[in-house]
Amino acid sequence: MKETATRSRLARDIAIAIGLMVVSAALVFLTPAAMSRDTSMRIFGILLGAFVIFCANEGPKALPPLDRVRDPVAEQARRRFGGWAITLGGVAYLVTWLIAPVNDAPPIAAALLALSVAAAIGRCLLGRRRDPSTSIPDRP
Amino acid sequence: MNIVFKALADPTRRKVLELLQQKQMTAGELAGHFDVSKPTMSAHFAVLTGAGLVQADKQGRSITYRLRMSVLEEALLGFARTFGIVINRTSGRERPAALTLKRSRA
Repeated sequence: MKETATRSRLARDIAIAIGLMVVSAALVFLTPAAMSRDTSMRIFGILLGAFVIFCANEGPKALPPLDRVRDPVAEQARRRFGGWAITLGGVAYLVTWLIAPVNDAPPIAAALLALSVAAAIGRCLLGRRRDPSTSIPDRP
Repeated sequence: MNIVFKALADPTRRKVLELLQQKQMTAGELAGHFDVSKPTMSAHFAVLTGAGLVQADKQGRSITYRLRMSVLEEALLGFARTFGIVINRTSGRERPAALTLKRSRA
């Protein structure tokens, strides 16, 4: 049962990776003959934002189970905060590429995403400083 | 995804998830918050575990439940808490495809 779930998840992840490569190759192939460089950049930015949202959404679930950490309460709070922060960062990245002028979108989108990642990392570091015993121990 | 909607459709299960958002709890601690029988609580835990929203770890005679929700699932929980999700029932059989929204009475 667990092996089947792992296999289907692996197949899904490989399919997503192939999809990203195919879309990227198609954008390169179509630019500038069938599509402007601006449109191509915008589509790629939106795709990247969607990928960040997808990864951040799964993050809290994909990390090692909470029974393997010393302080599950603090770890759960960190994971939830990190997941929400980076997901919202991904949404901000996607929306920026969707609506901002193409020349302004790269720095704004990158700054918003970096801010969300910095918030997630900051929250983790702050929690660890308060309680340094929350690292993941070796499984017996 | 239907199984997640089914799990979030019940107010008791939503309350269990809200309690687990604060900290991990044993089955007994969680059951203490509700005025329902143990078999009913066990059935709720089974649905939540089956949907992959919680993780159950058996330690001796007690079972500890921990939250295991993605961001989207947490957002759905918040949405369900605010607006309420009710699954239409036809002749006792649940049809997750026929989800309707109701304003929460609480």
